[in-house]
Amino acid sequence: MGKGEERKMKKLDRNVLKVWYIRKIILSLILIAGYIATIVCIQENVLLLAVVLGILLLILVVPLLIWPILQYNRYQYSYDERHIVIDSGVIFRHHIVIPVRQIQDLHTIQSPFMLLFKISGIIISTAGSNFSISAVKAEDGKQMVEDFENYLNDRLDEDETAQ
Amino acid sequence: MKMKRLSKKIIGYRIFLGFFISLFPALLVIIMMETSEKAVLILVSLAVFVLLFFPQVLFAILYQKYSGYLLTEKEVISIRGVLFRKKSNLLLSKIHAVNKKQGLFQKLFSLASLHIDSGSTNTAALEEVVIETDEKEIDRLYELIKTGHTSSSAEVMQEVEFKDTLFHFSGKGKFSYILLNAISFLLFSIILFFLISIVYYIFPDEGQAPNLMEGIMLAGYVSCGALLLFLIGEALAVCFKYHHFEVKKKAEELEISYGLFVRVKNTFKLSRIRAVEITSTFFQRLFGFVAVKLQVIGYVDGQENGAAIGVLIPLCRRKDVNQHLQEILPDYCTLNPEFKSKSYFPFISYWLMFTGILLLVFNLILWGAAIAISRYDILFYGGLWIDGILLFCLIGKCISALLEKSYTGIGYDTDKIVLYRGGFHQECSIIKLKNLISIEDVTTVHRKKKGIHSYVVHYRTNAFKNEVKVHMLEENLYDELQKLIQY
Repeated sequence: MGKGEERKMKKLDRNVLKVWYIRKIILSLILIAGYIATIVCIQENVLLLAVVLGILLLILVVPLLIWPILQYNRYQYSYDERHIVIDSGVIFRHHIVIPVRQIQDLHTIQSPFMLLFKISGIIISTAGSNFSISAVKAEDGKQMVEDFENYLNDRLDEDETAQ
Repeated sequence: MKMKRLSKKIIGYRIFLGFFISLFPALLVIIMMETSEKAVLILVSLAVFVLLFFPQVLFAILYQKYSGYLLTEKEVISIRGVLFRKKSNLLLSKIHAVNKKQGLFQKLFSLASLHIDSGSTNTAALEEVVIETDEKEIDRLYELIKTGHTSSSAEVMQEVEFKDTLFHFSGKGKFSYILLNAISFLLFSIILFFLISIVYYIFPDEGQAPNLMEGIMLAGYVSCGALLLFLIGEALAVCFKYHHFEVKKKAEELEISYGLFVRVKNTFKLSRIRAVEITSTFFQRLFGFVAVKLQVIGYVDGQENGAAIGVLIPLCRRKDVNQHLQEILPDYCTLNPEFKSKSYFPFISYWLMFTGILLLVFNLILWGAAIAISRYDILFYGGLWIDGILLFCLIGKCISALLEKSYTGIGYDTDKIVLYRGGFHQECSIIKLKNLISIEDVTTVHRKKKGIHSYVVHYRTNAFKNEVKVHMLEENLYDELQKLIQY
């Protein structure tokens, strides 16, 4: 399946942004708490220290907070009877086409935050590597897994007939 | 059918090992304990010895009593363990590799162990069945299983002798191997020399003025000593690890045997080979040498059992590699790379950015630390070190990228794909098309405009690393590579 072929790509469930932001905000709060604790404990040259560490904090925290929206905008996927296509990545853009016949097993994962927002992630295991579709609605995820299983059975039947 | 017990020699062997394992801590007690009472010292060390030795004796007896194995027409069964007992059933048709191992101490007691692997991904680092018993019995089982599992029906194949040795790692090869590793270590010794000299000069002993000559002499002793120790260790390790290293072939099976203290004989079907990798370090390449490794399903790269299980040729001349492959694995000869890397700058662009950010972050941390503890001299020394190291890494990366740009490429035909990559450490992977899973395209916005893409080839193996990355190639190559995959 070449890149030129048209396909309708789907985006991840919007609730995944909430999950990602919650994680990033928790991490940012930990970094800010560390920053404040350092300033409070150090008695000498407080202002200079606050400025230096403040710049460091900005370098770390600002990308953390804008990254999820960039990631969400880039992530797309689609699938049919023979292919699963995933486009992802912000700076390094990944495009992969996975043959359905190479699927070995399928897994659905849900973290506590994902459970809260009724979304799940799908992990597609092949004999080579694992691939994932980060977050879809829980019911859509179940349907997707069923579809993959049906498509895989069809491919395996095809192979048996061909033999 | 009744399970066969393991040989009683196992008890003697394990007691023998247990004796030395228990003796060492007891001796340690004598050395470490501070008391003038000799009687107390002897009593305590004796108590330690008995406490450690007695359970091992008991374990040895119980292990022999409760462990066993059975080989039928269809399967091999083993039971092992005393407290945690494990019964393993393995169908003969599922066996993909049978390995016989014999350590030095096992040899003393005429024992050996048989390791049988099914190629299961979940237990790639372990064999499914391990039988440790009398050497003659192990040899009998080894031949029976090899004959039994290569036949597709109940018929037993005629025993075919392995052909003459197709590859033998000679003394000259071992000497070259040791020398090349020593040259690599020499670089490290030189860095160590400068490091110690500078540290000794900057941080002299308390109350003394910095003395460069003393620092240089101390650094010289330490780095020469380290190099000498490495040379001796490496020479011994190579001689033991690759003792009598031979590759033989029979019909559809490959046999690789090696090792002095632990003699290993690995046998596996050719169909289990997923990829062949030809690797060379910087110094190996300077002198025109390469090593050849196998990716075999069921074995994990870097296993600790003497030479890695997938080493086909530890070292040979680059110009001879295709000749060796033609004799041993003709399907895995290399191809010339038709598609080469397009551009140099992308190899280092993100490294430059990354190094710049790291420099900024580290220097900010240094400033913060200096202000916090009011020690501004650490700004100078710390800055020198960190900035110097980062700069050194960046220069190294630029040189590596130059080498990578000239070497990177892809070649393919109707049967296999050959992937060339690497800078200082170069690798060439030969993968059969039937083992390809998918090809991933990786690029950035800017590179896409220039038509520069990297490709990640995912292939069928159960190693920890199941992909090969090849960088900075043509955009239109992706559609060509997709045609190689069966959907």
